[in-house]
Order: sequence, then C-alpha cells, then structure tokens
Amino acid sequence: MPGTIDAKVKWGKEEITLSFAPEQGVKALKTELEEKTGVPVDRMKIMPKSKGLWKGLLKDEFDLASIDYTKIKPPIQFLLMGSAAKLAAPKTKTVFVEDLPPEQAAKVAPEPSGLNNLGNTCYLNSVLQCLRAVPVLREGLSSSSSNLLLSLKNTYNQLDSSVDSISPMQFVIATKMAFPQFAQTGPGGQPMQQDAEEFFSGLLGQAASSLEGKELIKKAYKSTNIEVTDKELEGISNLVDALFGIDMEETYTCDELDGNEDASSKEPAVVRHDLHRKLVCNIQGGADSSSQINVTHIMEGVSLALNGKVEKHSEVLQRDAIWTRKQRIARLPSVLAVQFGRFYWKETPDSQDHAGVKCKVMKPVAFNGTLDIYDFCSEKVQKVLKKARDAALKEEDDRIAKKLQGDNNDAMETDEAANKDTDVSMEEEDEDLKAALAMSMATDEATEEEDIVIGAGLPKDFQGTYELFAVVTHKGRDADGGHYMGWVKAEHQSSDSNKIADTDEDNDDWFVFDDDEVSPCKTEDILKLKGGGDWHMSYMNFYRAKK
Amino acid sequence: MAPKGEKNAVKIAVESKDPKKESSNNNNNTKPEPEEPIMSEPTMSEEDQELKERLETCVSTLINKENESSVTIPLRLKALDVIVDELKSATSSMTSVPKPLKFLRPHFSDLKGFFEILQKDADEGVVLLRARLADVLSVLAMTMSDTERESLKFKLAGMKDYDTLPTTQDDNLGCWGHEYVRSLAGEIGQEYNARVLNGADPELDTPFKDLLGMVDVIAPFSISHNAEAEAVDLLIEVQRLEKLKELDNIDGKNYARICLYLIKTADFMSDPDDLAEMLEIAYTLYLRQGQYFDALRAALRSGNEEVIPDLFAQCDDPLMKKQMCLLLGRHRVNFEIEDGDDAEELNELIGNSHISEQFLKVAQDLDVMEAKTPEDIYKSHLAETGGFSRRRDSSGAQVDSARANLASTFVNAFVNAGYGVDKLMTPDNDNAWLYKNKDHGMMSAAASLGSILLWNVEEGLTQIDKFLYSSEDYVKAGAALAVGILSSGVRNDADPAFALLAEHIEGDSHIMKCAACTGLGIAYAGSGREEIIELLTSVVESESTGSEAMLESSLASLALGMICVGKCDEEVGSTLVQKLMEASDEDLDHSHARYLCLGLGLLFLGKMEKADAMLEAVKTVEHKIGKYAAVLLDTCAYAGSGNVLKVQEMLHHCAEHLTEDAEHQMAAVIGIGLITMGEDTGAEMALRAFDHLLHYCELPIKRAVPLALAILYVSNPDFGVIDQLSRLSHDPDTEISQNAILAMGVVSAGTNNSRVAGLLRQLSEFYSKEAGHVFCVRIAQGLLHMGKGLLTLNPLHSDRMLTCGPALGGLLVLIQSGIDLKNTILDKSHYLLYYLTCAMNPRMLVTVNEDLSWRPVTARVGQAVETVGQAGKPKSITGFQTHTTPVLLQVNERAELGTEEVLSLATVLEGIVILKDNPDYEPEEE
Repeated sequence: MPGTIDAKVKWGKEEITLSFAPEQGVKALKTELEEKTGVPVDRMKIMPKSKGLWKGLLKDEFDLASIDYTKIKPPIQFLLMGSAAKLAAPKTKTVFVEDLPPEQAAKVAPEPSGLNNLGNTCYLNSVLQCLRAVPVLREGLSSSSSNLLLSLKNTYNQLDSSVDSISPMQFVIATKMAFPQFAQTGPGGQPMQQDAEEFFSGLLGQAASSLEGKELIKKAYKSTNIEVTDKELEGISNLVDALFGIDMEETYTCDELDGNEDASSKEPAVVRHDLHRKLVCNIQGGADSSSQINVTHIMEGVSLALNGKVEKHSEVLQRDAIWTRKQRIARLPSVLAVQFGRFYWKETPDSQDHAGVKCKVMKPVAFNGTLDIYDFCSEKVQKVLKKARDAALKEEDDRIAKKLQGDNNDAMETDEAANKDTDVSMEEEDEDLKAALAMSMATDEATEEEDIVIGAGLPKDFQGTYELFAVVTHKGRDADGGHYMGWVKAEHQSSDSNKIADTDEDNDDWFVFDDDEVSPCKTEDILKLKGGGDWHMSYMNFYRAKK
Repeated sequence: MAPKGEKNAVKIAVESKDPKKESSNNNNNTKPEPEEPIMSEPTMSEEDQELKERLETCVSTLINKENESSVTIPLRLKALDVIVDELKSATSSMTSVPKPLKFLRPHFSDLKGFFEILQKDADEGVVLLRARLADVLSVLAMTMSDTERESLKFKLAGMKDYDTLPTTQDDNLGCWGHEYVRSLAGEIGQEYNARVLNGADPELDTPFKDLLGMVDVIAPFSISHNAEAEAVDLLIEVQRLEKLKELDNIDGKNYARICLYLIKTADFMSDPDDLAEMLEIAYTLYLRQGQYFDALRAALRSGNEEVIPDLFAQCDDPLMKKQMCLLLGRHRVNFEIEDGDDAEELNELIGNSHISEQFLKVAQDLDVMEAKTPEDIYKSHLAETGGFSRRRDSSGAQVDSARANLASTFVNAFVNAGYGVDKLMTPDNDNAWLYKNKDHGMMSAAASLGSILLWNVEEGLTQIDKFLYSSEDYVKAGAALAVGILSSGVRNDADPAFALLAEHIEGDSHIMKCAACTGLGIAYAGSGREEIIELLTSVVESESTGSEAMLESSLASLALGMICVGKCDEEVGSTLVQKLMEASDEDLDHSHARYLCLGLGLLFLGKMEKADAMLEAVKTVEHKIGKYAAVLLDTCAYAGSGNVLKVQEMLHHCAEHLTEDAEHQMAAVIGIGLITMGEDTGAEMALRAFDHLLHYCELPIKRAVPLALAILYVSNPDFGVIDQLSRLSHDPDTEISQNAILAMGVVSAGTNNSRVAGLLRQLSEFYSKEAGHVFCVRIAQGLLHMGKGLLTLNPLHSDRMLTCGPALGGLLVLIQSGIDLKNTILDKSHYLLYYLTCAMNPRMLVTVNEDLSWRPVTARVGQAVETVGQAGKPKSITGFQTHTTPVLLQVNERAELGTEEVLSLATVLEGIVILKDNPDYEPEEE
C-alpha cells in the first residue's frame, strides 16, 4: 500500500506488526497502538530500534513524514514502553520504628532494656529485672513514699521508656542509704559483691513497711484485673505479704514418745504459724547436717527444708528431746520465691584466724518449668486444691474420652463390628469416671461450707501449680565474688510453641539480663541452670501461680 | 683396620678437594699422575681409567709442552677432535658431572695458558686450532671458571676467529648440548647488561653485534627444543623480543606455550612499554596461527581495542566471530560491527542481548527458579540463641523498621537478581513492600526492580513503567534508576535508558537528577558513549553550589568514570580535575566528593603511566582530598598490574602515623589490594603486608584492610581470608567490623558458601542491637546468595587474564564507600550499591551450537593449575569432577571438555562456548 509503512513494535514479550501512515502523525500511530495494546496514549513511550528514525523518545509533535523510510531496512522497528497498570497507593501509612518517640520504640523493641553495672551491682540488677516481671508490685510502688521504692519506680519507668540500657544510679544510692551493709567497699575502694538474696529480703522488708493498707493492695491487684476480697486479705497488712507472704504452719511432735500412745496424747503437738516470704531449697542437708540426703531436685530440697528434727524441751519427759518439725503452707502466695541454699558458712578452726569461709555448693539441683506445691501444703489447703485438681483431671479425661469417641465415630462408618466393642469399653470407662466423680463430690461437700481462703489474688480453681517466670543465677566459686544474672520469661511468647526435646515441657521464650546485655534464650537454657559446673546456676527461682 | 681406613678417607677428601697437593704427596710411583686416582678412587672402572688416560694424552699432545716438532698442527687438531668428541658424546645422569669434564678439570688452566700462547700466531692452521680450542674452553669454563662470563668470552673469541676462516662452521652451539646453550644464554644476558651499563646504546645493534649473532642462533634452537621459555627470556634480556616475530620455527605446536609465557611474564615487566610489546607480540603470534580468539584476548589484555575491527576483518570463520563477540560482550566492550551479513546477529552478541535468556535457562536447569524472600536468606529460625524476638511472624503488630526493611530490599534485589521474579516487588497489584520503605529507601526499593529484572530490558521496561508515574518523587527516581540498572551491560537498539533518563538530567528535581546520573552510569558503564558523556559533563560543570549540587556533580562524575572506564578520555579528565580544583573547600568536605575522585581514577583504570600527567594535576589540589585523589588515581591506574614499586610506594604512604585526615592512607591500603589483584604471588605478599598493617598501624589504616582483602578475593571465599575477616568482624572498632562484614559479603559473593552463611548468621545475632552492623550483615548475606549462587562479582575472567573494567569500577564504588560508610551507604546513598550490578555476571559454562541452542556435553571442572613455563603437556586442572554442561565455575576453577567428539571455538571454557563437531573424531568401538 503506498503511503503506509510497515512496522514491527516490540512491547514487553510481545511483538506487534502494524502499518501506519506517516502523514497522519504521531497521535494516530499511538491511537492505533492503544487499540492493540491497551496502553493509554499518554503513557506511551516509543523508542526507535531501527537506525535512522527519530532520536530518543518519540515526541508528539514529531513529523513522522520527515523520515526517509527508503534508507531503513523494512519493516521499521521500534520499542513501545508502557503499561495500563497503575501503581496503587499504600492502603495504610507505614509507621517506622525509627520515627517513634523512645517510649513507644521501647515497647516494640525486640528485647527489654538492661541495667548498667555500676560497680559490682549485678546482684541488684538481676533481682530488679526479676521483680520487674511482677506487675502487681510495680503498681504498688507508685503509692509508696519511701525514697528507696520511689527510686525503684523511677528506674522501672526509665527501663520501660528506653531502648538502650540505663544506669540505675538513683536506686543504687538509695539502696546504699537504706542498707549500709551494701555500701561496703573492698580494699581497693571498689564496691563489694553482695548477696542477691540478702538484697531481695531487704528490699521486700522495706517495701513491706511502706506498702501498707488493704486499699493499696486491692488497687495494685486491680491493675492486673485481679479482684481481691477482704476475706482473702485476712491477716495481711501489706502488699509484699499479699504477694510473697507464705503463712507457714509449723507442727512439732515429740519423737521420743513415739510408740507410746498414752504418753503422746499427753504431750500434744505444738502448732505455730509463721510468716515467710520465700521457701528454701536445702541442698546440704539443712540444719540437720547429719542427714546426708543427696538432693538432686528442687522438690527434695524444699521438702528437706520443711521437715526437720530439733532438740526441744518436752513437758512430758521433763527434759530436752528430739522433736520432729513439720512445716506446711497454710496460705499460698501469688508469687513464690525459692532460694537455693547454695551458700553456707564453713567453720575452719584450723585456719589462722580460726574463723570460717563462705562456701558455695556447686552440685546440681534440677528444677522444672513448673512447681507443684501440693505436697507442701497444709491439709486444709490441700483439700481446696484437690477440688480444682480433680475437676481438671475430669476435664482432661472428658477430653480424651471425647477424642476417642470422635475417633470411634470415624471408625464406625467403616467397621460396625468394632463399634460394639468400643461401646462396651466406653461404658466401662464411664462407670469408672462416675465413681471417681462421686468420690470427689463427697469431698467437695465436706469443704464447701467452709470455703477456706488459701491465698490472696490466686486464680480461680487454683490447682497448686506454680510456673517459673524468673531466675537469679550466680556464677563463680565463692559467695563474695562471681557474677549474678537475671533470667526472665518473655511477656509475649512467639506463636510457634514447641516442646523441649523428649519432654512434656514447653520450650518458652526467655530473656537473659546480663547487666546491660539482654539476649533471648529458651526454657531449655533455663533448665540448664541447675548447677554442677562452672556455668551460672540458679540461686533464686521465682514462680507465679499458674492458671 | 678401622683407624687406617679412616685416615685414608680423610686423606682422600683433602686430595680430591685440592689437586695441587698431589705433587707434594710423597708417592714413590714413577708415574704419579695416572696412579693417583687409583689410590684415591678405588671405584674407578677400567673404562674410566682408559678415558682419563686418553684425554690426558690428547691434552699433552695439544699443548705440546716440550715443543716436539713431531707434533704438527693437524696432529694437534686431531687431538682436539678427540677431546671434542668425548665432550660431546659424554652421557651422564642429571646429578653428576660428565666424566670428560671431570677429567679435563685439572688441565683447564694449562689449556687456558696454551690458548693465550696461540693468540700470537695468525697462521690459518693455528687460527683454526685456536678457534676450536676456544669452543672447548668455553664449554669447560661453564663449570670450571671462577671469572665472570669466561665461557662467553672464549666463545666470542672463537667466533671472531671463525669469521676469519674461509670454512664456516654450522651448528657450533647446539652440538655442545642443551645445558651449554642455556648457560651461554644466561651469560649473554649478563654481558648485554654490562655493556649497556658501560654506555652502549641498547637501541643500536652494532655494539652487540657478536652477541646478537649468537642470540639469533640460540633463540630458534631453544624454541625447537621445547625450551620456549628460555628463548623468550633471552630475548627479553637482550631487549630484542621483536625477533620472535621473525622466527619461522614457531608453529602450531609451540605457539601456545610461547604466547602464554609472554602474557604471563608481561605482568612482571616494570616498564609499561615492555609489557605492551610482549602482549603485542603474543597477539601477532596468535594471529599468525589463526588463533583469533586468543589474539583477541591478548589484545584486550593490553587494552588495545583498535585492532578489533582488523581482527574481525581477517577472521573468516563465522563461528569464531560469534565466539569473539561473546568474549567482547563478557568484557563489556562497546564495539559495533559495521558491515557483513551477520553484523546484526554479531552486534547482538556483543550487546549481551542473549544473556538474560541463557541465564534463566541455566537457572531452570539447576532448578532454582523459585523466588526467595529475605527471610529465606536470613534463616533466623536457625539462630542459636533462639532469636524469637526478632522474628517477623511472632506478632502481626510488630512495627516496621525502615532500616531493616531497606536491608531486606537490597537482599531481595541481590538474591533474585536477573530472575525477573521475586516475592516483594514484582507481584502485580501488590505494592505493599514499596511503601514499607522510607524516603530514599523507597527509591532503592523501586530501583530494586532493575536488579530483579536485570538484563531483560524489553520485558522489564513494561514492569517498571507504572512506577514512573508514581506521585512520590522517590518512587519515580527509583524507577528511573531501575531503567538504568536493567540495562546494565546490555545494549539495546532502542536505547531506553538514555531516552528515558536524559530529560531528568536536565530537570530540576534533585533526587531525579541523582537517580538519572547513577542510572546512566550503571547502564552505560564502559561504553564511552559520547552523547551521554556530554549530558553528564553538563551536570559536573554546573555553576550551582551547595551540598545538593555537589552531590549531583559527584554522582555525575562517578557515572562519567564508569562510562569511560579505562578510556583515558582527555576531555572528561580535564572536566573532572577542573571540578576538583575549582570546588570550594566546603564542597570538597562533602563525603561524596570521593566519588568525584573515584570517577577520575576509573577513567585511567589499568592504564598505568597514562595517568601520570593527570596525577601531577591532581597533586596541585590544596584541599586534603587532593592527596586522597592522587593515591586513588595512582592505584586505579596500576590496578591489576602487580607492580611491586607501586606497592612499595603505597606501603610508604602507610608508614606515617595519622589518626585523622588519613583518607589517602586508606586509599593506599585499598590500592595495595587493587594493584596486586589477579596476580597470585603479589596477592600473597600483599596478604602478609596487611598483617603488618593490622599490627602496627593506626585505626584508619586498619579500617581499610578488610576492604583491601575484599578486592583481592572477590567471589573467592578463601579459607584463610574468611578467617581473617571473621576475626576483624568482631573488632571493637565499629568501622573495622562493618567493613569486615561487608568484605565477607564481597569475598563470598554469589557462592552460597555455607561457612560464610553461618558466620553471617551468627554476626546478625551478635550485633542485633547495632543497626549499622545489622544492615551490613544483611547486605553481606544478600551478596553471599547473590543470584541464588549463580552469579559472580569477580572482574577477572577468561582464565583470570582479563579484567572487566566496568565490573572492577562497580566494585570500587562499594569499596571506596567503605572509607566512610556512615555518610554514604549507611546514610542516604545506599542506592550506590546498585553499581554492583555492573560487576554481576553469571558464573556458568554453557556449551552451545552455532545458533546458541544448548548442546550439553561432558566437561571436567577442577582447580586451575598454573602451567606457564612447564615442560611437556602438564594437566591444567587438578581434582576435577566430570559434569554435563551447563555447569557453574568457581573463581579458581577451570573447565575442559570431557569428550573428543566436539571442539570448542574458545580456548578458555567460560561463559557461553560455541562447539563444533570434531572432524577427526572416531567413535570408540566397543
């Protein structure tokens, strides 16, 4: 056809052939291309591939007729760039962590911030990080007027609003004022290492005297959506006792009257109540050092500490006799602190100064992610706990039964013969269950009226199981040196929970606070803190009531 | 018995060491001389004894001490003949002295004395005797002389005498044996130098006429006796390498060895003229043998691109032409074939139009097409300490970190480079990722499209198009940059990068200008295109001042350097140096001013002395950057030359203990790496030098050491170097560790090296709180898995003989940025990382038919072995494995065909290799 030019247009992967009349101008060419490609005219960019055409982009005002097409090898080729696609605007504006103020940035920071070491203050840093995970206590701090606690509150606030580690200068000074023994310095003038447990007890002591009043306790608990009743708070005057306080029922029975019923009736067991703020896990053998029981697990250690023998005056025998001391928990705390008796004073009469040395027991004492204190409770408490435990047991059985049934239903469709068998066994199971239920019902009835308070702020249907959430560990061979670290369970667990290999234990996310260094770790790392080597070993474990 | 034996032994030792004592020995025998050895050497056989006696008789006849008249000249000549025969026919093992030589040893001084006596006579017979005696003495002097070059002296004396004789002696050198020729060749070299030192003009032939005469005999002799290296050495010594061209016994059997030796020895020439000459001779020799591919390699090695048209004109094999075009494409030479029927096809090969298709085909073959996300690379679930807190999936509400996302953008861009698909940027209707970046990050995110769609110009443009219409300036700039990146190393007739970017260069938007400059620099690296140079020059020369303008002109300068890399373009050079001289101090304080200097350096990359004039000009810059620019220019000019003097010069720079204003020292350290790269011995020595620098120097120098290591071991994760870098990556100094981390990325680029992957993962945890470090780790991880392990950044190719200018330039952008990471890549200029696309190349070996369709054959791939100057036919690879092509090649690996069935047109099996049937192939019968 005269007057029209054949052209090959390359557009992305496609090749389009067309012919156009140069006289009609660029617009016409583009319109034709729009029909073929769908690219809007104003988004077309046409570039020449054959030599001798226009230069660069084809402009709308370019005169196509001015080209000498005879010199170009036909068909002429050019490249079309353009697409009908439009760039969608963002649906939501992205907020970048770099733009956030430090307080908000700290919230989304992957790790909580750490505390700088201000000269052997790791004993303090580690305890502080552990207590930071007790929200009720933190809430209580705000109502305090004590200098020490106010500075503690400030320190926590600073930690929460900073991405980087902070220096708890104010709190360290307040601590040294409140407890002059912590201001000791070594021969070189440097601050000395202190006992983390001593600091913990001291701090709780201060807090106990400062955080008094039932209203304060209620308010503090309320902040975490826990309602505490006056009844629960009977006998509790301050927040610390509500949180950590363990009402210990101590029963002494005289051993030497054993086997003689008459005599024993004459000498009644002595029952005393004592307030503790921690349990001790006895490693060496407790006060009775002669009983060399090899403690390998926290349960054995605590049990060892709760049961003992003492020499005491017996009214009946009119002389000192050996009594069995049995401690049982009569009121459960919200937060249970367990101290491992790793440090002890060893007499060294043969040494020059005839004094002794502070020693550390290095042997391993294992613990789990949870602690069941049922065995350590008084009978009354046990009764209450049993109710919840039985209910939970039943629920679990129901669940298994249901699951089995579900499986059976599936099987039913395929195999009817088998169905009968399982039905029979199901019935049997049901009967067993009913019997068990009846038994527990009976015990329920007995206690129902009393409605005994087993502790303040405990979850409903508490079964007596505590969950480990923080650990203070010590590394080193002697008590006056070494290094403390705090290990705290992460507030938000990652979605993909899994079990520690070969166990039933959840492998949760934890943080380890090595002063200013905070790094993530797992429950399996925590369970390795049992000791027995030169690595960190747990010195204090903090548990909280498990729902 | 025993003591007696011992005594004897002692005595023997003394005797054999000092023959003069023989006479003083109180021996009662009447004929002490012949008896003596029997005593001393009881093992001497009868034959030896007989030989010894015969030689002694000849010597005494020859010397004729008693002047007996019966001993005539012919008799003497005959006696000499006997000696000559014995000498020539003597055979012995490599380790012991030939017997005749040994037995003649005691008479050497006598013969010398006799020779002196003969000097006085001019009788023809005597002259002949003298001449022949001179030959014998020359041979004897080889082992016995104490004075310098005595062997040569006798030989020359003999030659002089022969010249006066009517009869000519043919082959008077070779017949004395190979060892003699070698020894003589060595002495000729020494003599030549001695004469030059004494004032002889090496340009003239006359002062060396006698020597050159011998050279003319020795050189062909050596070449025809498998001693090519010695011939070349001799010719180098006497500076008459040109003679190689005239030798007619260079043939199909030995040209390859000669040329290889020439090319490899060229690296050690201190004089650039010598270097050029050697390469030129190699080129000529290759050409004469019809080895066009190798000739092209030699020409490219010397940067002699003018001969290419000539080469194509001479070559009439269309397949060979294609293979040459493929090499030109790999070397990024912007050469255009003007005429011929297949011009279009060949030009497409030079323009790398095929590279995307071939690369994707290899990827398909290796089953790595699946796009990878950054998380696939980070593998944070493998983190040892359970980095749960950093995992993305832990909670949906996690706040985005602009910096972390930016790093992921780059990782995504590098890992999926060239594949055309990814999971963040290319999916249609989902631009969420783009907006998860901030400001300049958005620009880099949009530009990452260019890297993902790398080389696939026509399809890529359609995908990038929509981003050009964004309302965000940053996105638009990024899209413009993407157009440039996309066309990196690929020529397209439509020239889209130029067409689209030109308007932005002239526009007002600062960010668009930056993007356009960088885009052009990447797209046209090494092309030397004039219209683009012109465009960018206008930016450099712009009158406006201020930090934005400085940034623009710095980036434009860098782009100019990349475009004219190694072109020594005078105009561009003067523009850049003028800018450097005229810019205000504040402008030069701008951290990006270094790119201005780098642009200048790139202009002279590998051109050695051609940068000298510019160097003088740069030195006049008073600002402290002048020093830096000078060192940078100097080192760029000598990049890959292995020039030891320059290395020493650079070390000298480092001797000063500076703690600030030490950028020139950092450039010097990087320069050591740059100069020695590609030359193994030098590289090894540089490593040791770096150890010293780390021990004894100030921080700025230490900071540059990882960068220098990186440039020495690009895409070559050598165990020791990774070890060293891993150590440095834990250095308490931020900049050392950041540079070391980046260096690990460069060293392992495109290798998927699992060791480095583990180290980097560990570093990402170790530095989890340091944003800058994490960014570096991420970039390094992206580089490590670049192109999913199918790419390399190594600028050396074609058996590590050629250095691809644009590739080295692209790398240098990153390396020089390492001097001040904080203000460049870790700040807003991270998009400069895309210069690395210039260095990206598939590390594949694909064998193809004439039409570039695949032809899988077996190939052996193994560690390359140095075969230069080796005798016989040494194996060129070791520890090889047999694969079927396509295969991937590591930096230190070499491939050879595993079948006789086909012949390859390329002598170096790298990249795309065209095969043809072997006409001589006979299938093996079962």
